[in-house]
Order: sequence, then C-alpha cells, then structure tokens
Amino acid sequence: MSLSVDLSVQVGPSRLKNPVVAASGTFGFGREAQAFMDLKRLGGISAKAVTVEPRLGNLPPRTAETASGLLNSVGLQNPGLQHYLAHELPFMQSAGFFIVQNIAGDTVEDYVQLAEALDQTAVQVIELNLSCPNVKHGLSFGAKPPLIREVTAAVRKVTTKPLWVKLTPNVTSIAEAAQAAREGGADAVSLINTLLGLAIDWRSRRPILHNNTGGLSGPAVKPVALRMVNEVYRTVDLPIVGMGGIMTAEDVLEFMLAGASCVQVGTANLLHPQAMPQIIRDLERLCQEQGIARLSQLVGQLQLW
Amino acid sequence: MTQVNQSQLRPDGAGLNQATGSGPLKATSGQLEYAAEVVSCHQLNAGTYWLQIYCPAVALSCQPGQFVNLSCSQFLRRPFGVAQVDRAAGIIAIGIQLKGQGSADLAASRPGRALSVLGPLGQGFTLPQPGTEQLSSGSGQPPLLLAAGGGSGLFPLLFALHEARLQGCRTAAVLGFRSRDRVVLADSFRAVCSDGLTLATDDGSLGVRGTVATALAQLELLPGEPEGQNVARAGQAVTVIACGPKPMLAAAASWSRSRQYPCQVSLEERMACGFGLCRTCACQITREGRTEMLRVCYEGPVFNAEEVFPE
Repeated sequence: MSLSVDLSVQVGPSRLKNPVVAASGTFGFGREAQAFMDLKRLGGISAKAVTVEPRLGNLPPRTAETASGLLNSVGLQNPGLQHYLAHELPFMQSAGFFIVQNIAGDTVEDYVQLAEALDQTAVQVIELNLSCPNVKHGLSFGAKPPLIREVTAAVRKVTTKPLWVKLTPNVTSIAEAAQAAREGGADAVSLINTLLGLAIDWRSRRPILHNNTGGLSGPAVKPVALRMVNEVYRTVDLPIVGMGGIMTAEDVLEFMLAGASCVQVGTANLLHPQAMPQIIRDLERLCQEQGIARLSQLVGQLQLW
Repeated sequence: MTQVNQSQLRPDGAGLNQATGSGPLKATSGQLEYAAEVVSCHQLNAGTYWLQIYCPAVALSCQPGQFVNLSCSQFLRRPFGVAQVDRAAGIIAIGIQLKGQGSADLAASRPGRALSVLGPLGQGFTLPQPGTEQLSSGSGQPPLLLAAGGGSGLFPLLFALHEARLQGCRTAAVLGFRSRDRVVLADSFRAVCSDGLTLATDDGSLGVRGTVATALAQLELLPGEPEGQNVARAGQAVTVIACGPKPMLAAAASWSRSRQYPCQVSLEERMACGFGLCRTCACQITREGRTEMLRVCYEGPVFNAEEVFPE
C-alpha cells in the first residue's frame, strides 16, 4: 500500500494544493494551456503582468537561445487593466485555478491603482513585479531597497490581498531587497526574476534582441536562484516563492530545501506543454519513494557544511 | 462538398478544414506533444535536407501552412513548416536548411531516432474551395492557387499545392533560388502544379534571372498567350500564397494587390514555445486601422497580406 502524500503548502496566509505555480509571463492567462491541461491541477497560475494601460511590448526579435536557457525581451505586452478586468479575469475565475495576478507599473501610483482595482476581485494573490528587465523603469524599482519598501507599503495600504513581491537578481544584495519588501508589508517574496543578459549575432554585428538586452531564464540560472533563495531564507523572516530554471520535480525539492515555500515554473512550460502536470506527478512519486508524508516538511531543511 | 479524396479524411470526417475557421485552432485531442521517430533523412543539396518523421497523430490532423516544433540537441526546439503528409502511413516530411547547431543536428538524424514533436501548430493557409469559387467567378474554371516561395519558405507550399490539387484547384508556383545548384524539389513541385512551375535564380543559371518578384512580374495575365505563359485564364479566381524572406513576401503582396488577388503570407520569427505561451514571436499586424502585436506561432504563421503589408 502506497503512502498517502500531502503536497499542499502554506505561503504566508495562502494555502496551495501543491507547490507548483506557473510563472508570470510564461503562461499567459491560462487560455492557451487549457486546451491540453487541467488547470485546476496546478498549485496556481501567476498570470501575465498587467499594466494600467495596454502595452504592445517590444519589437521582435524577442528571444535568443543560450546555453541551457534563453533570453527574452517581450516587454510586458498585455491588454491593459480595463480589458483584463472585463475579459481575462472572468475567464480565469471560471477556470477555477488559484489566481496570482502579477502587476507592473512605471510609478508607485500605477501599482496602487492596479492593486485597488484587484482588491475586490477573485484574484487570490497580488504579485508586484518590481523587476522586469525589459522595460524602461522595470529595474529601477527592484534595484533600490527604499523604493521596494515604498511601493510595497503603498500597495499594502489599499488591499488586504496577500502580496508577493517579485525581486530582481540584478542587485548587489538580494537579502537587502527582500528585507525591504518585508518592511513594506509583503507576505512573500518571489525570486528570482530573469538575469539581465546580451546575445550577439557576430555576422550582423548586432544584438540578436531588438531590445538589445533581455532576461535570462532556464536551467542556466538555477544555481544563482538556489543561492539567492537560500540566502534570503537564512537572513529574512519571510516566505519565499522560489523560481529559476526549474525543469523537474527534483529541482522543486532542491528549491524547497533551500527555503522556498512554493515554486514557480516558467521556461520549462515553453519546452514541454506537460511540464507542470508531470512535475506534480513526479513530486508525489518521489515523496512516496522517500517516505515523505508532507512535502512542506522539506522547506528550509538544507544543511550547510 | 468539393472533390476530396476520401483517404485524406479522418475516419470521423473531421480535420480537413479546421485551419480555415476563424480564431486560433483549438487542440481538440488535448495533446500537443508526441513521441515520434525519424523514418529517413536525406540530403537534397549542399545545405538542404529532407526529414521524414513517423508521427500519425500530427499526420492525420495537420493542415497546409501549419508547423511542428521539434526537439533537437539544443535547448529550444526548432520550428519547421510541414512540407508533405502521408496520412495513411502516418508520416510527415519537413525540409531543413542548415542554419546553426539545431538544424545541423536534425539534418544528421538517422532512421529510428526518437524525436519529441509539438504539433500541428498555428493557423495554416485557407485554400480556395472549387465549388463556391467557380460559382462566384462565373468563369466555369476551377480556382487557381498560385504559390510564391523562396528559401526554407518553399517547403510548406509543397503541402499546400498538393492539397489544393486534391481538392480540385488548378495550381502554379513561382520559386526563387540563389543559383541552379541550390534548386531543390523541382520535380516534386512540378508534380503538384497543374498550370506550371516557374523557377527564378539570382544569377540566371536556371529559369528567370532574378528574384521571385522578377518572375511574378513576368506572369502577367495576357489573353491569347499560350497556356503555360498565363498565370490565370480570363475570369478565373486566383488565390496567392507566399512563404519566404520578408522582401519576397512584400513583393508577392504588392503583385497580388495590384491584380486584386487575395494573398496570404506565412511569416517567420524567432520563437521559443511555438504554441502561444511566451509571446516572443510577435509580429506587427494591422487590423481595422490598428496595429497589434500578434503571435506568429498562434494567430499565424499565415496572415492576410494586407494585414502584414498595409497600403
């Protein structure tokens, strides 16, 4: 008789049925994937970032392959808040999955306006994207701890929804950034967003991306992400949503051992449509094999030398 | 119902015209990724290969203009327009032009190699329907499908021409190459072109000297010219499809517009997923006077030419 495994996890005030959440920007609003996946099986979906006004995004090319990863410079293409509220959110609500809504802005006021608009909706978590590397002001918020504190606190005042603050790894100290989010009233930090990178076509003597630079994701960034998750886990008293190159259930276990309460899967979705359902099945199997009755027991259990 | 070879239909009769409906194709099977196997791979010329893959599910449902995204030795998959389908044998074929490590790896495939196939992906060509077009044009002539292509863009045109022939259309093609030794699949195209195949080479070593645009310009409709010189008979409905480098697409769009032929172009862009998630393969499309960024992999790769090249 096989062991019954509890995959559910607690992230601040939120209970997720399992730790596998789709990472913002790699899953749209879930519409495309519903054709080949039962969305309700996921721990949740962090839906594509929404801005106050519609954004067309950057000109192509928007992606470049790298060793074990890829650069992207989509540039927060989205239909804007009004269209989102009228069309995308009702769809997500009817689909019945745990909704994390990523929001992005150029100013503190943008974030406040977006959070106010989401406060009385079915959105279960608001994720503040303070870290998009592909827009003009994206990094300026996430790279300065006082700004992280200010924008988080401003949003905290207008909503009772759980707040996840998504941080950029393009900083000197990820722990300081996470501490600022905690002081601003965050319920968790999501880390890491993509690492700023450059790909070059030597024949044309041009960057491959029209935006010149882009964000690096995929297994290439996993060691950096694990180190940052563990650093924050050891120094800041705040739940962590871990991400960066997760492709397998083993990767999820590593992130949880490093200190992540749940994880987000991004790039893997682009390579394998069934990546997340497969990871969830494998998590259950691995826990059974290892006699782990509750997956959440593993959080932070990494033993440093 | 148009003249359709019954063997081309799925047992339930579905699948034939899915790609011609409006809006993104829905994956009805609930599956997108298939374990497939290389049947054969052979070289067509110095930089071009022909890869046959056993993948019955994709072979059954794939429409002309749709593509597959294939696993390879590199991190990302590689997208290829489907060039030929043998539904009875469950085999699809693609043309590979060597570009980098991914295409080189796939071109080196041996029979029996396991591949992961995502597909069929995207919105394909809308082919003319002989019954309705004949009535509307009043010419009594079956409609003509004219395909213009160059580079790796010629491969999906072969599938489209083949399918159009099966459905009772007349077919013609204009294909451009750098030189005589780069010409591939000429006999395959000739076999599916009822109304002639025109080749163009940049150096004039075979066919028309110049580009596809040059060759198209010489395809003027001249009443009284012997058959073969004429792209269309008087009053015949003509549909143009084009796939290849952007300047070639623009030339095909402009040529078609001046003759009031509807034209569809198939776009290429660097992409990651191929099934609508990542939004990296954006292209600028003009609809109702507004610019939108649509996905080559999901709303495309085939668009109406006037949406890509507005006046």
